Amino acid sequence: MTITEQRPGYRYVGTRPVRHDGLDKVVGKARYAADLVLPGMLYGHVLRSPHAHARIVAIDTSAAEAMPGVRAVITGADFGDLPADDPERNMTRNLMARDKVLYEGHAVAAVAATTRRQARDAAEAIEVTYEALPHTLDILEAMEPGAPLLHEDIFTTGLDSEPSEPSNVANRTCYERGDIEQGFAEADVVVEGEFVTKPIHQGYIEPHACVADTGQDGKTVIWCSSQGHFRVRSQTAAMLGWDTSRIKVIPAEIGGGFGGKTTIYLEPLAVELSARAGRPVKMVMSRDEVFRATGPTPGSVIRVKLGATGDGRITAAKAWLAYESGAFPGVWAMLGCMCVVSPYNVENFLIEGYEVVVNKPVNAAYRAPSAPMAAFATDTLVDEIARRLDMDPIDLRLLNCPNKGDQAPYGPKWPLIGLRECLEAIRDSEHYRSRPAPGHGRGVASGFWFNIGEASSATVNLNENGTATVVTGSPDIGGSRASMALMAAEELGIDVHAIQPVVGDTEVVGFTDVTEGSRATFATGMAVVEACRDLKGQLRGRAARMWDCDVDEVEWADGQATHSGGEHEPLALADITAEAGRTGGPLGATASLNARGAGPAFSVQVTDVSVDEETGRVTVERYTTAQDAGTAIHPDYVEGQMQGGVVQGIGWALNEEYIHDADGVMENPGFLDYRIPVASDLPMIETIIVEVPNPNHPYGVRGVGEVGIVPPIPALANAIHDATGARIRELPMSPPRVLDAIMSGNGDGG
Amino acid sequence: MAQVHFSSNQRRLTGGVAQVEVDAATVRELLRKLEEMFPGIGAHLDRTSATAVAIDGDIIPDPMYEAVPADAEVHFITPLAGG
Repeated sequence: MTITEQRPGYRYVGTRPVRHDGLDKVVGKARYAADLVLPGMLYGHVLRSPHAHARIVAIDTSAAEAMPGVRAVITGADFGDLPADDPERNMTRNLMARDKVLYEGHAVAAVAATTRRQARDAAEAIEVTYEALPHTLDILEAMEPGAPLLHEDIFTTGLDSEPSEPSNVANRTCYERGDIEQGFAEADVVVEGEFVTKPIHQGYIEPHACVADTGQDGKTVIWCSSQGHFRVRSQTAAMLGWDTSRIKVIPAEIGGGFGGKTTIYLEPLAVELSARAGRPVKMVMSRDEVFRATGPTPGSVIRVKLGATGDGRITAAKAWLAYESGAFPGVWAMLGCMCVVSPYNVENFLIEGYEVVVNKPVNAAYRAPSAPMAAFATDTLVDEIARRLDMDPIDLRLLNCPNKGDQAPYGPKWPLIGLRECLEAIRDSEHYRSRPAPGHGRGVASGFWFNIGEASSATVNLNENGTATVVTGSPDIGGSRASMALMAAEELGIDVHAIQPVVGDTEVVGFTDVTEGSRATFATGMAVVEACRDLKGQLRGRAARMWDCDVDEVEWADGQATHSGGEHEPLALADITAEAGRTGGPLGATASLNARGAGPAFSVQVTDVSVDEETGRVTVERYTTAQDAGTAIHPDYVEGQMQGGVVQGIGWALNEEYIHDADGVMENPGFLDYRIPVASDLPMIETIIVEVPNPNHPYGVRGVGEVGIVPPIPALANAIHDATGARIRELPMSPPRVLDAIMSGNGDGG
Repeated sequence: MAQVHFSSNQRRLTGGVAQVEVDAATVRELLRKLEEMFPGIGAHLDRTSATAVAIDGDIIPDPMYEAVPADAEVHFITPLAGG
C-alpha cells in the first residue's frame, strides 16, 4: 500500500477484519431473492418479443388463461401510461411494451402459475400479432436521416436550431474551450483515430429475481436483489400508479450489480400478478433473459484527435462521440463527453457527443458508465504521442496532469485529486521499473471517474451489553457493511465485531439513494459517522449523570468516558449502556444527509501481455493497478474493488460483445458464447492503494467502486501494440481481430 | 457575486455569453435572475432531471434550495449516473 499523505493514526480504519457477512456467504447461508419460498407462492414468467422492432397489433391471452395452474395474465394494457415528460415513463415502457416492441427481448406479457413450467407454457400460449418494422442496430446508421425511427417523439436537443423532424439522435452535447485551431497549429505532433466498442453486459452472477406478496389491504411486500431498494419502491410505485407507502421493499443479498441493478425489470410485474392472483409471486430471470432484456453498457463510435508540442504538452483535443443507448435515451454520451480528456490539462478542446437510440436492450449503468470507451480513444492516442516523441508514457501523462485548481474539461475546478500520485506510484512500482519479458508488450493507461454523494441515512443503536447495531439503507455490493462497522468502531472506540452492520428495509431506515457512483462508503459512511458522533454526545451526558457532574467535565476517547478533573474512574461504553435504563433510556441516534464533496477518482494501470501471433490470442502476463482511494477504510475490499474493475475491463477489452444477427436477435446470450474472464485466465492483479484523503469526508473516503474499469481497455491496446506493432481500435481485441491486425500490419509506426 | 459559467450547449440560450456575474443567495434565486437576463434559460436549467449544479467544484443534483456563496464558481452540468 502506498500512503502518500500522512493520515491520523486510526485504531480500526485501515485494518482488515473478516467481514461480518462473510461466513454466511462462504457456507451458502446468505439469502438471495431467488431462495425465498412463501406459502402458496406462484411463479411468474415473462413473454418477450422475438422481433427487434414491431408494432403490436393484438394480444390474445385467452388460451393462456385457460391453461392448468394459471392464476393471472397481464399485458401492457394493464398498466397506465405516464406523461411524456415523466422521467420514469421510459422505464415503465421498457418493463412492458405498449404499442411497439423496440428490441428482441422486450417484455410483452407475463403470467403467474402454480409451477414454473405452467407459467412458461402459458406465456408461450399467448398469441401476439406483430407487424414487423424495419430496425436499426448500428449507431452510425441509426443517426442517418431516413433510418428506421424508434420513437416519433424524439427531437434532437442541443442543436443550433430546433429540428422539425424526429430522429434517433436524442441529444447533442458540446464542451468547448480555448481556440482549437490555434491549439493544433501549436502542435508538432497530431494523432487521430476512430474507436469502436460494442455493447457488453455487467455480467453479474446472480440473475434478477424478486418475490412480491400483495395483500387484500392493497399493500405489497417485495423481496428483491437490487442496488437500491428505495428506488425499487419509487419505480414500482410509478409503474403501478401507487403511493409509495403501499410498498415495502426488503433487500435480499445481492450477487453482483455493477450498475445493472440500479433500475428495475420485474418488480411491478410481480406485484400486479400477485394482486390479481391473491398469492405471492416469484420471478427469476434466466441468464438468457438477463442478456436479452437487462442493461448492457452502450456501444460507441468515438473519434479523437490530439495535438502535442515536441516536448509533450498536449495543446488541443477534438472529440466526437456517439453512444448508443438501446431502445430509450440515456445520459451516456453526455458522461462520455465529460470524461474523454479529463485526465489531461488541455487548454483548447472541442468535444461533441450524440446519444443514439437503436433496437437493442435499454442500456444501464456499468461501473464508471461511458468512461472506459472514451479512455480507449484518448489513452490510445496519448500512447501514440509518447511513441512519436520517444517519451516515457508516464512522464508524458505527468507533464499534462491536472492538479487542484485546474479547470476540469466539464467546467468546475478540480478539488484535491490524486492522479499525479497514482502516476508516480506506477512509475515507481517494481512492475514498471522492471523490463517486460522478451516477447511481451507493455501498456499504460489512466482513467477518471467523478464519484457521487447523494442521500443516505443511518441509525446506530447501542445495546445493553455495549455492542452496537448499525442500520443503513445501502445494499452491500462490495464490502460496505464491513466499512460501516469499521467507521462506527473508530468513532465509538469499540471492537469492530462488537458492531453488527445491517441493511435495513424501506420501513426501518431513512431514505437512502441507490448504491451507485462509488457512494456507499463515502455518503452512507458519512451518515454512520454523524450518528456515532451524536451518540458520543449522548454517552458523555449519561456519564455526567452517573458521576453527577457537568457534561462539560466529561470527555470521550478510546471508547470510554473520562472525567477532566480525574475525580472518577473512566466508564467504558458498556458501563454506560448497562445503566442506560436508569439514566434516560436506550441510546440510539439517526443521521440523514445529502452528502456533499464526493472526491473524484483516478486510476493508473500498467500491464504486460504476450500475443500468440499464430492465433491472435492475448495473454495478460502481469497487471498492476494504482488507484486513489482517499482513505482505504477496509483495504481488502478496496483492493477487491480495484481488482474487480480491472478484471471486468480485461473482459471488455479482450472478449466480450453482444452479437446480433441481421434480424436483431442476440446470438450469444449465455456465458458459453459470451466469454467473461475467469480466474484461470488471469494473473494476480497487483494493487497499489494510493491515499490522498478527500477533505470533505471525516475519514477522507473517495469511493473506489468504479474507476478501476476505465484504464484496462487502452492499457491492453497499448500493450498489444507494444508486443506486435498492431494498433487495434475496435473491441473486443479477440483472437480473430488481433490476428487480422497483425496480418494486415495495422500499426501507427510509433 | 457568483460567477456563472455556461457550457457550449447553454450558450445557445445566452446568445453566446459564456459567463455572467449574479448576486443570488440560492440556486432558485440564481435561476430566477438568469431567466430575467436570458429568457428561456430558467426553464431549461430548472429541469432537475436534466441539470445538476457544480458550486465551487462540488456537484449537487437537484440543487434548487442550495445556497450559493458569494464569489462562488457555478456550472450547470449533466446529472451524474453511476454504476
